[in-house]
Amino acid sequence: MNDAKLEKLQILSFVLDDEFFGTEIGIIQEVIEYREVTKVPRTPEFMLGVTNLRGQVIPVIDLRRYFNIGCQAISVDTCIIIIELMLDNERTSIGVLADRVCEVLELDVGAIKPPPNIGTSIDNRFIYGIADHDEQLIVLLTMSKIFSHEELQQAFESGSVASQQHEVASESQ
Amino acid sequence: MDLVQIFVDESFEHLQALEEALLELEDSPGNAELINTAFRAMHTIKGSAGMVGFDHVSYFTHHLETFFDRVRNGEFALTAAMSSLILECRDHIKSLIEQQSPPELMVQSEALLARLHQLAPVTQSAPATAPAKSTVSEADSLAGYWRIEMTPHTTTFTEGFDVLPVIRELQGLGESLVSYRWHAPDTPFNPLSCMLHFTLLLSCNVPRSSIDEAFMFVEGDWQIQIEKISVLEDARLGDLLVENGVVSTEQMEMMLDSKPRTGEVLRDKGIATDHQINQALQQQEFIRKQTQSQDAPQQTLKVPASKLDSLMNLVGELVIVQSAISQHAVETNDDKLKTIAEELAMLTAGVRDHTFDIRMLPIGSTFGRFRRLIRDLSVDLKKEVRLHTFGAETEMDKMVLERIGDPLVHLLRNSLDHGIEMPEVRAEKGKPREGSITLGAVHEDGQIKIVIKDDGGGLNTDRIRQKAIERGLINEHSQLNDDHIHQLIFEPGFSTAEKVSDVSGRGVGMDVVKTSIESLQGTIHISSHAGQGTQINIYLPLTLAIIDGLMVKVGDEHFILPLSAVEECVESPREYHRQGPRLIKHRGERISAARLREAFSITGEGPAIEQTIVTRIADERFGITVDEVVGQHQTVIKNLGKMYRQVRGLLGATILGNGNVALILDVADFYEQCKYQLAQSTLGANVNVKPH
Amino acid sequence: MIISAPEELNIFNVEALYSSIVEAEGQDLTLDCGNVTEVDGSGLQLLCYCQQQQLASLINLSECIQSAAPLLGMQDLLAAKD
Repeated sequence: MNDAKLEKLQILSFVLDDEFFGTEIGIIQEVIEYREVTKVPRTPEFMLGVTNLRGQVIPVIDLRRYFNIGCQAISVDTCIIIIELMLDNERTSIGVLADRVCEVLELDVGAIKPPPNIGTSIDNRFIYGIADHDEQLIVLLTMSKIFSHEELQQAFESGSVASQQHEVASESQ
Repeated sequence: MDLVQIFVDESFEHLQALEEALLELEDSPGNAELINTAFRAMHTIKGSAGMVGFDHVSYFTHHLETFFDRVRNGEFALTAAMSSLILECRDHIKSLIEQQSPPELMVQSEALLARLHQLAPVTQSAPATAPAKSTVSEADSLAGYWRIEMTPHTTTFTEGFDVLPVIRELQGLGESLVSYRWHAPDTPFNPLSCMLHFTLLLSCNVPRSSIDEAFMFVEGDWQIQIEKISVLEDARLGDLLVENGVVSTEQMEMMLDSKPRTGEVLRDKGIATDHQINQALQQQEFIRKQTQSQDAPQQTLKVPASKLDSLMNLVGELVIVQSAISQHAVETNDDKLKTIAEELAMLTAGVRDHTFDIRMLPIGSTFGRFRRLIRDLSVDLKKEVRLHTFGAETEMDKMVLERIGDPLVHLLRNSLDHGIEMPEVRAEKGKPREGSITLGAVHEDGQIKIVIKDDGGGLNTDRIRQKAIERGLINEHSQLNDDHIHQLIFEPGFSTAEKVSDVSGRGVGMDVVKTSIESLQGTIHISSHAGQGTQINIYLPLTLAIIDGLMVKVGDEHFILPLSAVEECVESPREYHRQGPRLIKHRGERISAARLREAFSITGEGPAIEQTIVTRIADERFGITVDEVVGQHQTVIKNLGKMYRQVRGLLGATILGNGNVALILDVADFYEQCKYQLAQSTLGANVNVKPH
Repeated sequence: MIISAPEELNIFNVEALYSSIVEAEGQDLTLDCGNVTEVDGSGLQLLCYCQQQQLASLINLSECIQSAAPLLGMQDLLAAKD
């Protein structure tokens, strides 16, 4: 960890819709099964609500709605990945909904490619790299950017507008 | 914590004590207890500063200590000028400690000391003639320490009186310590005459007259001397022996030149017997004990706030588990389990209340700060103002107390700056030159009410109205009564100060105050009468961690309303034709009401009979319509976290017995939101409240 | 020699008791207080005097003495109990 140069990166890969994503495991607190989430009124669709994790009230985010990609129905595979981030100097736990969690992978840092300008379904500013693994393309997400104050603020305002397109999807849940 | 940090923390506490004592001395000059407090504060800082290497602080406070020592010895009285200077010195000590005595501050020290010596010139001769207890007549406060010296008349026994009942009665007045000696040791013993002299140290809360009463039947014959004594931490053995008449002052002074312990020396020289010294030692012990017990309420066991928070969290968990068990007991209808659940509920409530209690602090602990503020500001503004306080003992959650400080400062400044008129103006209006600001707190309806009241000029309704129109807060045709107009000063961007003064009116103003109060789940209301003054009421919840809630249901979702806001629940058939906020009739009054289902866009239709919960926000009523009222619920408030900080109308979330999360409504905020909608939907809206 | 203090160790009896004590001066005297059921200030004063002047050693301090002595600050009487 204190090495001057990072050689290997461990990530957790998970599926949103049909795409593979990854986040480095350092920020992952745990992965829990999908459970009852209480919707907080007057919030955009991507903010699924809050859930109880051993007495803590944790917000749960649906990145599919956040990124405007397809939504699959809740299944036995649906999970909530609990990540821990420093937001405004405060340790904050956030639940991230995933359609399926795959595995922990070790990637060669050298093999991680910078995000392409086109071809991914989500904005480049949330991606720090792309990796090939077993012929799967894994998009590496910058969680701290996604949940930064500015981004959230923006999403909070525009998200409620975008959410209307997903009314149908949300009711199928 | 390292020693230096402890020193810094404790010094600040002592400085606070010094400041409070000085300010109180202005009201009751010459109060011996207060002077002692000041002395002790300096004495302790001096000592501990030396220990941690703050030599300059030690040097500086030494002079102040000496100063107070002389005041308490009656060498001179504390004047207003001296008080002011000491307050300056107090601030100086604070800076010295905070900034670790940089040279420029050390230079200032000398200037301050020079001024101090000027006010209290050093006299060469010790005040030998001045009685050490010149403050005997000072009996303002009942709580006190008395030294009662009595020599029963020699014929006491033969005349059928006894000393026992008298002393027993005296001891009944409070904590006491009795000691005796032979009144005239050289007189031959006569078993029939009373040859004893008694000294009684008494710590009690009764007036002098109660003590006198004990001597009602013997007064003429006995030699009785009753005096109020100041209790010092360092009640010295030598002094006690002198006071007990065991050794003379001269003998004592002679002794003091030699270093060994006073008691041993006196014993060795045969001046005092073991018995006499032991009695004096007991008195010393008694006095020390009393001093400690007196200070006990202020003495605090220091616990890091984080530990308290984790305890609080655990109590929260406990409450949740307990309500889960209670619920389960009811559902399974298991009598044995029900009994256990009830017991558990009682215990949990006990644990909860005690944990809260630890977090509760009396609001009075902050009054000193405000008194100082008023004092300094009134000097700056050349106004004459007196701060009256009440309800200092009213307890509030530590966190609330910490966060209410700044808003209160702001409000007090405002009262002083804008409310209280200049002395000449007041005189012209036929008011006393000295203005009065009252700050107080009371418990009311399960809330804390903080009052800030002044007898100044009151709000200028027309000016506020004018300003509100200029700022676009209301339009010219708005029909607002005076009270509504007054509340406008809490709107963002509103400040009536004609010119920006140093004191208040920096543009950030009352809206910030209102926001801070609201963030504490409190409400604020201002009422004013032109020419007579202004009163601001702040209502705050007792605690922010656990509340009694009312659980309601809309569709499948549970919500909690703080019970403190709930007045009653009424049921009514659902009027299908009305959507959005509406007015309903309630006890001959029309109140606005909103359906939670609509406000929170919850899908589905409500039942045919719906429940409306009538809530009270400040002095307004508001109905919240839900599908079903579930019942009372002990609610542990959990923060919704950063992600949801923009969401309005919610106070937080709580975890239900089944592990699900329910949201807690912030009734006042929810009402604000609905009021806006209502104003828009109602024709001829007469209230134009801006959305937040 | 042992002298027994009277049941009522008060102003009516202290003089007599003191006389007996003074008469016995010079002897190794023990004052048995086991019977005392009532004591007043004069009684306690006498006990104190005897103890301090070492006229007699006090034994069997009765309950009423034990409760009354501290009222007058005469705790040292009790120290001599054994």
